[in-house]
Amino acid sequence: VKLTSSEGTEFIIDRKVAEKSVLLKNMLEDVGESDMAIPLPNVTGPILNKVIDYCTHHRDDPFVSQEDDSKKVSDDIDDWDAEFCKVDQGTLFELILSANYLDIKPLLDLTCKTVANMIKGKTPDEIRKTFNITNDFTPEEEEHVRKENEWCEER
Amino acid sequence: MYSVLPNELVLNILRYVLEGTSFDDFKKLRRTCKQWNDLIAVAINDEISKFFEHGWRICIFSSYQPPGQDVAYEISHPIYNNLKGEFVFTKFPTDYKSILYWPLEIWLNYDKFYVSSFSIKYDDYLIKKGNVINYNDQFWNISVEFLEKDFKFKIIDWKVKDEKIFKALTVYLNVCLNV
Repeated sequence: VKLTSSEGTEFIIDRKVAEKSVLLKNMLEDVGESDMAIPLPNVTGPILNKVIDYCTHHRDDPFVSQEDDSKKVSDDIDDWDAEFCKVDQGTLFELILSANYLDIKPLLDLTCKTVANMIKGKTPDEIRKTFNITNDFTPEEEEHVRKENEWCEER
Repeated sequence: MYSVLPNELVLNILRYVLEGTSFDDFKKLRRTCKQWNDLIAVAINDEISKFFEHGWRICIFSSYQPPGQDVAYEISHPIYNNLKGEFVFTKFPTDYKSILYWPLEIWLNYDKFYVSSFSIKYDDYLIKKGNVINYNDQFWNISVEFLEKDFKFKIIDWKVKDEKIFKALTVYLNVCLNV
């Protein structure tokens, strides 16, 4: 299967690997055998490379559908996946977007869990610093939220 | 960097944050930014709704009703109101004769009432029990405990402001969820 990233870089991968993506699986089923490259305008080459790494490593894993709503457990990441996610924040967020676009639920779960683990145990100030989030509350609005939360902030 | 993610994906992340985090700690994150303030309410509401969709009910067995008639009141469909910082419950009395005396809503007001909580011992079957104690003419103390195999859902010790004819119940509920 040929894939083309947003910059036009071509990747050739096994069909089994491509089918880890529900988007690609459906496309391949619709189109059938074809030499035409599938354009992925929302995915850059380096990110597509990472996604292919992930799908190749997990090519024999059982299929997980979007409807599978298993328990959300953020600490059940295996060593390979943990190592895979040791990337800069920009790449991690790009992976989340690509996993969502390509409809690869296990990769989306993994990357979201990784970010969730980065959030856990942090204060709002620390989270803003970590993820470069702008505090867009006015002082009055923030005070209002703080007051609403007073009962739990004091614990 | 978070700005690149649409609400749907931030919400997905926040749901993982909520996993293993108490609602108390989770609510503290509302102060991060406006987007989180909105989405945290959605995540809490989804979590509670999911619980109730799986058949959870809070039953309050009140001995307040006419002597000899213990009445169970079932509370379901809770909704978290972000603007008010309150949980809103719709209440369905199982004894419909008493519907005239009871409102269809119970809401939780974090500002007004004392709260405490207690753990419930794990067991392998569903227990629903509770009691209502007339604390004084103004407040009713309601305790409810329930648990089921694979779930531990604890808390429940709240004080209710009695509006005499039960036009409304203002409840302070501290929810701590462990799955």
